[in-house]
Amino acid sequence: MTGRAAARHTIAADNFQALATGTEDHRGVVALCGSERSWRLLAIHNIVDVAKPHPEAVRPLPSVDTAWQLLVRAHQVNPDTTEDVLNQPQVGVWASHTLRRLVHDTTADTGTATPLWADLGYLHCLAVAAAVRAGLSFELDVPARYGFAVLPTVGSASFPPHYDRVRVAARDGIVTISYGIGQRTGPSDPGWHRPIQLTAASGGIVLRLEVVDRDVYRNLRGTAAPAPLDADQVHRWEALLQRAWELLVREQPGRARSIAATLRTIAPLPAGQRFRPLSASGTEAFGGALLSEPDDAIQLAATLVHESQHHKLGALTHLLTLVRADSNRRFYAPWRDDPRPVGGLLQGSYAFAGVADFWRIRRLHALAGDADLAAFEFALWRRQTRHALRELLGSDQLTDHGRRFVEILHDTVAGFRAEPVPTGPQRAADRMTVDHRALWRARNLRLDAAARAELAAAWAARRPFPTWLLDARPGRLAALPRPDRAWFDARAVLTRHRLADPAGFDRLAADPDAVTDLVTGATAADVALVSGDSGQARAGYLRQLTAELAAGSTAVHSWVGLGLTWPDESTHPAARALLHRPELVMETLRQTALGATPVDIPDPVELAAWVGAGLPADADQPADPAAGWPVLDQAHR
Amino acid sequence: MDSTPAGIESEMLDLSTVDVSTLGMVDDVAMAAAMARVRNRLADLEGSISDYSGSVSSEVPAADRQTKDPIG
Repeated sequence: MTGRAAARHTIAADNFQALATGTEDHRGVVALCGSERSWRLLAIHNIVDVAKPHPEAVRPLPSVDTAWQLLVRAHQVNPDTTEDVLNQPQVGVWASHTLRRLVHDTTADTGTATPLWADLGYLHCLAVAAAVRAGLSFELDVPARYGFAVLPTVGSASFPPHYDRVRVAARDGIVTISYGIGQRTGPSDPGWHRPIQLTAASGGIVLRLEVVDRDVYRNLRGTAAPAPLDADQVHRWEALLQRAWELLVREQPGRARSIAATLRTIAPLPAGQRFRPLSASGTEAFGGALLSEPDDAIQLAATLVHESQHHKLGALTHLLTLVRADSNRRFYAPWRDDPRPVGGLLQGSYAFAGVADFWRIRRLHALAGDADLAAFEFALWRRQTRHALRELLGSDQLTDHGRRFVEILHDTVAGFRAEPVPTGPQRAADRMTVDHRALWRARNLRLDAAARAELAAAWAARRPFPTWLLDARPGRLAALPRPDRAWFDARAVLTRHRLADPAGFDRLAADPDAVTDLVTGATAADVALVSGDSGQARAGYLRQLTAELAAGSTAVHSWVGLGLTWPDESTHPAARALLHRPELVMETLRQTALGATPVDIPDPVELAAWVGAGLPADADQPADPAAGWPVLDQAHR
Repeated sequence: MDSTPAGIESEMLDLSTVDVSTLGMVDDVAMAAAMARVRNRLADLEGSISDYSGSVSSEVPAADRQTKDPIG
């Protein structure tokens, strides 16, 4: 069968330009909504196509074909509501999660005991949701998970958790859900939960979204147990969203229009520590964002901009191949603790270009109490984003379209450099860029075996640092992909506390040990450093290092903090080493001190100065290799 | 994939005139290629690292690791 002729989506040149710039891209965003519909249809069709020949995979539920036919009937009666159901962000997460299970049998990898039919049965939930909204009469079994049966956009019913499936029936507009022996519930019963739908409106631009708290596919990676919000939490989200929306529409209406066109759901998480919002997007969840309850409306507005950038780029990468990813290569991403693949670096660069632009505009509207923090965020993210974009442009992993996209984005961000920032916030931002990159190198980079051996031998004999280690031979350094969080942002978060609340920070400085409850990963020495007391900070880091070395720790936080206590990062050889090539210090330490007797514990300044004496006096943090770092498997070290 | 001054032809099949009831009527060859492209992308475990953009790497572990799904 040849069937209908098929064309491909086309991206208008001006839309490509606007999307790459990241602003005033509403027309391009509307086009992306259309192409995402095509992608979603193909994703769902893939599930049906792969699952259909395996009827046993969906038992005890009715067949995949039965669910599909109900979906088709619903579409014939009410195409708009059926499309709305299918285009929910969590549907894409379900499709990718379930397809990976079908193709790879990832049960062992994820440790899940959830049977495949429970995942495949989400198709039944979609069909039922579409059929209810279309007003059909029908009957179909669907899975219940964690005590909930979720019908996307329609609602959810709760049951005793040992029921793993329920029967949904509708007749003459009356929906009932039966389970067990003769037990029933429905939308009029107390166990029924309507979707949490929020609307924010300002200046004629309306944002409508659903807060998804029960659907197991809302968390973008695998599945998550329902976490129902209470009424107070819903009210807080509603109030924060309205205020964030007013700010965005007033200050950045172009971005607001694009967000209104794309954002469909928020999956809420509990609040994190102040200045540490958690947020995430997934390429398969167009229009969905995972967000922790924000500190305030400004933070929520910034996060919406951040996640909407991910949504746009994710959709664009469905249309075009922008990177030639090498799975054995990782890059430095200035916003993450872990080495990232090139696709992740591109995503982050685009998101933080949006964040830099948000703060660029925000600082012009900020009141006196907010101005320094806004200036700091702008200075920090314009520098970090530009670094990442230059890293991408220097790499060999962009396609022609990818290179063009990054060039446009880079030009936009480079234009931010001309904008003045007050000296204090600018210096603080510069210091935090050095801090993060040094921490990242210290923790994630590893030398090859020959270099490590030479380093250890030279240090043990107190010979001069072997400067031949500084050449850029490919493969000498490799990156450890480490998924655990290392709190590299601790000093930056403390800086935000100081800028946002100077009086509160003064109180903290009077009782610096209290910082461990306020900012995970921060220490009393960090408080002294951010306060501007370098002498007290250095003494504090040295005390911490003495204790850490005695305990056999090779944690990097205090080492880099020590490097930051010298006012000019290049004047002292120890600072040069700790801030520019900290991986050499840490590798020496790992080779000679780890597990050694107390006699072998080095003096931190002596060790760092020994490495620094081998570095050029005018050395800066070295450029990253064009191809990124090869991935090092920790198990093979 | 062609680029012209007006625009870029993408790699994705345009299904704007197709819906769930007419998916089966699309040209077989084009549909098979489009399906394979989507399947490869979705099933690519390496891509799942890039395709998840979180503010930190590990803040939201899969629920199946932290709370038992009563099914099974």
